[in-house]
Amino acid sequence: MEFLKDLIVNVGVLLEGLLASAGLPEVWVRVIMLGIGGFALAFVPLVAVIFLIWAERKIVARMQGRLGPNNSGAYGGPWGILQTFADAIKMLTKEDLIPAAADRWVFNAAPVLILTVAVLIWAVIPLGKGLIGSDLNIGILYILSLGSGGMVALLMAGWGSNNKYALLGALRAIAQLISYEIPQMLAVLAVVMVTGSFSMQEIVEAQDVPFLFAMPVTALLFFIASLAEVGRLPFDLAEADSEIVSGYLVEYSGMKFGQFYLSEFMNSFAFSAITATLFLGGWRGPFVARVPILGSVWLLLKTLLVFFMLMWFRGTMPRLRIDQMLGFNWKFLVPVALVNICVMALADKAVPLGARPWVRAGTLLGANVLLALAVLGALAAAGRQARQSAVSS
Amino acid sequence: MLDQFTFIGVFLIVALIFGIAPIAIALVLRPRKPNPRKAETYECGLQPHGDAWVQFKVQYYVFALAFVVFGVEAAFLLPWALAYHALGFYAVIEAIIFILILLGALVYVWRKGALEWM
Repeated sequence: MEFLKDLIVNVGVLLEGLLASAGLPEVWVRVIMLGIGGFALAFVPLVAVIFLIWAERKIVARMQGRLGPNNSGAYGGPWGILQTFADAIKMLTKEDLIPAAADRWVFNAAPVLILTVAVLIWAVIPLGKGLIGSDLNIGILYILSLGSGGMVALLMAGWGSNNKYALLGALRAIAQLISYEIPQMLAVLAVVMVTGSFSMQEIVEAQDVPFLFAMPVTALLFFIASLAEVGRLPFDLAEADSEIVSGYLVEYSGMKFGQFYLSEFMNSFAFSAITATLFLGGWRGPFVARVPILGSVWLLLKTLLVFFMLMWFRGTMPRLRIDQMLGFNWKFLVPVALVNICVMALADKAVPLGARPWVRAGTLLGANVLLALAVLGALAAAGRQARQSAVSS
Repeated sequence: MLDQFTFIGVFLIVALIFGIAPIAIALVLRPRKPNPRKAETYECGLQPHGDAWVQFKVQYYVFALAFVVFGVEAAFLLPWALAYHALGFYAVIEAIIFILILLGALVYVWRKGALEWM
């Protein structure tokens, strides 16, 4: 039972002892351990995503009154649970077509880069107490900067295809990603301000009261901005299949297409995990102090809750137009995010440093409610004005 | 401190393997039957007309320019947010004045009509 208490850490210690007893030099033991840890860590999102793809198809189908995948041949398993494996095999055995006009190097490098970036994010997501790839002291900055790596991959895909739809999709994607990076960054800024650290573990440790309850406006800003960053409905106009035939994906076939598809789901899942970490308290929950491995379960449950919101959006929302999408960001999210920073800075200074967690959370919540009321009032006034000018013209 | 980044280095190699492996497996499994018709650029079934690498709508660049303002702003505000608890009330007022100037820039861009999609 003692061994099970902190299962993953103990398995690591056991492996390290085995390697050391085999007579390897210490540096190599260290590097091999890091490599094994890295592989284990990279398999977490991969395995999760394989089942999430199935779950999303099933749940969205139910929301739309369909059955979803329920039969993938004789080996489909119950409720078609092996559908994703069948899809993966199909993609692996499809011919790989490269258009004659394409920029071959850029075209081929894009799917590798996008999947690499999607995996790299997981290095700094805390899966439990002491269970994190690397607790970088710039953890959250690392995630934000990797977002730019994904952006470059999308531009490479669009440019390399030398296809009008692909380039149009890529430019839309870039316009969307750089725009929504601002409110996302400003929302993270508020979290960093209250925590006083960029480190993901310290952000989790700081959440005696989950930040969702202390700063709901920031959480909402982050959620909406990240929704656009991962390009999910209602912000999926970069790959709108009905107008620009899937945008930058149009020339990709076989496993290269599969890598884009996979990385999109991995990004959505990573974003759910980041939201759970930043605003829902990460791996913190009842009984974690006694059984540390339970922290990963709590994190998974919170992540799935956020991911279910994504599926729900996908099942119910129509797609925005590009002018609406950019206008929503620049005329609403960015000003609100900037004012949010000011309000949070003032409200947090109003509480003395040594105050109880719930006093601090209560003050921040009060400030947030005032801010939300002011924003709603401004929206109502703007709406009235728009209606009046529509009537008079 | 350096040890943290050693893991990132090792993980970068792992991630690259994850990025290349599916394509490498597909390289072995996939059929190869090239034909010039297949290598044509897709354009809804019509003959491709002209090059895709053309001049693009200027609006995209305007938004990119507006982004630069806020990207630089983040570079200033992130260290401030990190040191927030150590700073006095004075620094908060300073940061708010800085943010107000930024809001001024946003209002300027807005009034100029650069945020309208034409």
